[in-house]
Amino acid sequence: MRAGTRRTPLARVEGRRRMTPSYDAVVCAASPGVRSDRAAEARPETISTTWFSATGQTFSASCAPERGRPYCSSLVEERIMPPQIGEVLDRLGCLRHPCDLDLLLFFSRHPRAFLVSERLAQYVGYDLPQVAQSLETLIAAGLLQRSPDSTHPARLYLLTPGSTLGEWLSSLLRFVATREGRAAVIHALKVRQSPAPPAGQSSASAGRREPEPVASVRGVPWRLEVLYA
Amino acid sequence: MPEADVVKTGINGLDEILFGGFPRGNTILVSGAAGTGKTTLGVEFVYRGARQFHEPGMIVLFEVAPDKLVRDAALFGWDLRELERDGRLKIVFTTRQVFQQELLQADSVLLAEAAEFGARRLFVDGLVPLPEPNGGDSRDAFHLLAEGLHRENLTAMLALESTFADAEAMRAPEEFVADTILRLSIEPVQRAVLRSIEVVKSRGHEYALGRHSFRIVNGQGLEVYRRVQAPRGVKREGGASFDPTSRVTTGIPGLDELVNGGYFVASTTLVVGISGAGKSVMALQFIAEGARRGERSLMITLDEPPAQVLRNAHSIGIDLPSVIDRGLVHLWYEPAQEFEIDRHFAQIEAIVEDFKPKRAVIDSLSTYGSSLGASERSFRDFFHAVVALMKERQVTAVYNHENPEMLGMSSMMGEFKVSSLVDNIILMNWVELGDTFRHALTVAKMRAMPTRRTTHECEIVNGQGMKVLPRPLVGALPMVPFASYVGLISRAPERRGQVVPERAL
Repeated sequence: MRAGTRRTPLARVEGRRRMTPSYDAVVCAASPGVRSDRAAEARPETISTTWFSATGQTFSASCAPERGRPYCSSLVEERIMPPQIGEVLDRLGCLRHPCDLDLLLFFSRHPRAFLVSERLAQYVGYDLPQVAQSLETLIAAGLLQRSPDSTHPARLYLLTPGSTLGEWLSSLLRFVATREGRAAVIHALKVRQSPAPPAGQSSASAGRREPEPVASVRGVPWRLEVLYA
Repeated sequence: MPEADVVKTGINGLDEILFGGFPRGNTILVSGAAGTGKTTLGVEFVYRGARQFHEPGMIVLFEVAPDKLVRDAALFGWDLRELERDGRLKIVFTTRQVFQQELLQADSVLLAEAAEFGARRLFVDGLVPLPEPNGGDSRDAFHLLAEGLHRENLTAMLALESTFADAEAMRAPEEFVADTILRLSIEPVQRAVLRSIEVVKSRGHEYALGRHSFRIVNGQGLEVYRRVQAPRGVKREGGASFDPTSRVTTGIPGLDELVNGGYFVASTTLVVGISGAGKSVMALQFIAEGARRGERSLMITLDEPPAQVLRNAHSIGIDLPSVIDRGLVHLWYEPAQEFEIDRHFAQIEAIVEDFKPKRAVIDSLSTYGSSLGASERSFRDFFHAVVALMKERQVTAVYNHENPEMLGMSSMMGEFKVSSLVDNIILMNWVELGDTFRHALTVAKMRAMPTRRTTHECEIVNGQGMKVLPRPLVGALPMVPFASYVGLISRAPERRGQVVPERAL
């Protein structure tokens, strides 16, 4: 460990057999500029992922349960671990933008919605062109149906969880039902959207990041350790 | 009305006050302040329709997220997701503006969606007084909406939000257009609350007027209880026994002789006396006598929990658990802390119709009086309903009533004047002789039977119960004419010094 750095203490990994479904995930703020060599010691049970901070730095997160305390229940129940988020997103294939996810989340709570698109945009908190694009994405992927265009200003949207992607979709939806899960997936989407910055250039200066979505990655409940400052 | 034209709600007790259900195609407005149960009522209406009557339904929501509605419905055991999967229910989330505009369209997507799966019922949650699109009044706007629904022959229930606690103040223009209006309210009653439902109007059929109580029961849904005062029909009101010969024995040694061999079948007997005078003992012996004869008896206890009643019975030699096990006695205890009189009566009605007792005891009426507060009318209405029920079902009933006066009685029922409703009245008194209070019993009233109204001593023996002691005097006391007294009407008569011949006065 470099001198002068502050290390976020990692809890001992207890293994999943000790987990119970009543644990609220520990939330730690990121500590930019801090590096820990403990990450290298992480055992397989430790969860790691990477994302950009609000300042454009690349972070890696390690999540380990406290002694005798499990991961957050949704993780345990759904058996989705952050490294698996990528796999789920790969399976679904269609999700590219945080708005895609948030629309999906909205329709999972309102599986049959009869709305004008302006109102829909207000509900999810993105601008109208982005909502329109995301709607097309979900419809093209067969996750959503929309009533045919007509003279009616409102359209009937119907979530179609019975598609071939149903299982993956329901797993993802249960995972993102928590603030932490949603933030983790949004982060993963952003990582996918942003190509790796050229050597010597931070992602912030590359200017490829999307604007911050509704949820900030700062709320992600993983213990953070800076791997690449 | 043909049965096909009646939409049963399936909600426990509601169809009874609607005399079967709503006329098909009615637009039903459910008004009430927040928390009165509008959403639960509407969702249950659609759920029961889909589940019990094979009538698919649609629920339209404006503010409540469908997943929350599904979650809340699960608390009542209603699986809305299952109905959706089976194509019997659709839950649509929209906005009020879109909804209103849609119903004005000839090719409404919403109504087409309802028609696609054969929806017969619709529930719209969270309507507010509608603004008319072209600046007209909300009554016109609601009329257009109702027309749109009528076109599809949907029986629609619309929950109209109101922020007013006062029913008159919340009268909305929509109420004049709707076919049926149900008004839900919550009123505080002695620090508790009482939910009530009122059918304000309903076109095309009869219904029970007035405010009826209801509860929202976890795992079940709504339970509506017809108000106790509402007439139950000619049969009940005219119910009585015409048998002048049969007698129902009292179970008190010595008492049957005083009441001409027993009470009439289906008669109403009031036992009045201060606490400790022996009313509950008499009641237990009446029940035990029924069991001995193989007759079913119902005992309703409000003051003492069952274990205590069993112990009391044991102390006078009555094995109550054994007769309960043999199905001869139904002991029903309801604590009187938060009394809902409509519900309580509905429960008594259900027990009587199910258990079919020949005898019944309520111990005691005074508990109803204190639970209902100072409302003499409520008490009388309730008692009248119970008496009518028992007479219709040919149940010989004994009601205990605690009189607060320790020695003597200036009034049998105190502020609750129901003695005109009863056939027989037995007064239980204490008589202070020397340093001892002794039990005294007077048969004060026997309708359609002769009675001497003499006071008899009785005693309660441990392990044996109560018995009326024989009068030690042989023959009756000589009757002294009224003329021998002064102050008869003042209730403090005194003997004159000398008997004056009547014709000399």
